[in-house]
Amino acid sequence: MPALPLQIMSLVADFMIFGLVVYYFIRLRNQEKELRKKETRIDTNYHQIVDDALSKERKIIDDATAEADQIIGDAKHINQGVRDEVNQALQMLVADIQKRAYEAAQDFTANYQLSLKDLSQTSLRQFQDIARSLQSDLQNQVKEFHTSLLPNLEKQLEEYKKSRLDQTEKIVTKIIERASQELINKSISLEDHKDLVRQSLEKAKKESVFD
Amino acid sequence: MEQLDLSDFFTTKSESLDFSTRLSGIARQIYETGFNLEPSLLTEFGIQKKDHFLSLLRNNQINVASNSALSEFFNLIIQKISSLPVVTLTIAFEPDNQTLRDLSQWFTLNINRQVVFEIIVDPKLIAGAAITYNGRYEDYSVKTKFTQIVASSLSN
Repeated sequence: MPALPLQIMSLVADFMIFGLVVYYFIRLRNQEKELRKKETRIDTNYHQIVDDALSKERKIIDDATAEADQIIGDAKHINQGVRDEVNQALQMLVADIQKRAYEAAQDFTANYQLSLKDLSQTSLRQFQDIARSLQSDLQNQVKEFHTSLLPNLEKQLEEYKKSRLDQTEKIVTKIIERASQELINKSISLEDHKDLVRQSLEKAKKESVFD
Repeated sequence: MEQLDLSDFFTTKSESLDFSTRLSGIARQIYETGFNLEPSLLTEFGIQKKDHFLSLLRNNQINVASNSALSEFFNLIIQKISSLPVVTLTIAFEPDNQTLRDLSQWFTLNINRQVVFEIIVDPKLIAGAAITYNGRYEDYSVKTKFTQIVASSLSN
């Protein structure tokens, strides 16, 4: 029997524990529900923010595109204007250069013709002077040739003629001598040669060559 | 000994030098054992000149059995050869041995002296001879006269 109060106490304790566990679960569930609500709320907020951001972005892009188109359009307009201005300036420059070149060419031609005229007049005068000088020199040389050089030349020519004739005579003599020597030498017999050598020795003896 | 005639052995200077050299060779062999004169002479000079040489020894009364007599005679000949006068003959033809011997004999007969010749052949002389002896030169060739004749013919 003493065990009955204990059993009752134990049973009460078990109920209390059970109640605590149930309480804990209920509370945990409530907390989960709360969290889910929060999550849903946050998600909704997030999507709203993203949508706002996207709409803002689109707007910014559209604005930027519109502005860029306007800038490009302005730039094209300015570019064309500058090009026209440069072309105009260049045309004016070319026209100016052509004008100046034409003027310079005319000046140069005029100067050149003037110089040419001066030069031809000077050259003509100089040529006439040189021609006169040459004529005078030539006359002097002809005169000198007739008075001194010609007689000398004639004399030298005569001497040359004489020396050439002498040379020719010597050559002819030598040729005749050689030809005759060979002919005579070959036509003399050995005995005659010996006799003539003996005669030479006799003459040498008479002239006391061997004394 | 004065009349030692060597004209049978040589006529020109080069021949005389050759003869002298060969004779000196024999003279050096005289005192060698087994020396025999005749074979030595035959070897050096040939049969004809050997006979002439033996005649020369006989004519000069040289005792061939005496080595000293032979040696003395050989030396005498070599000396004589070196003292022979040289006659330079310029002639217009190539002389043969007989001609040279004849000319050598002419000297022996006419001036009582043996000479040796130095022969120069120059066809330009035509004929005759130009002689050089003891430093004296004389031209007896036909060339001189011939040149004179040609020159006078051309000038006329």
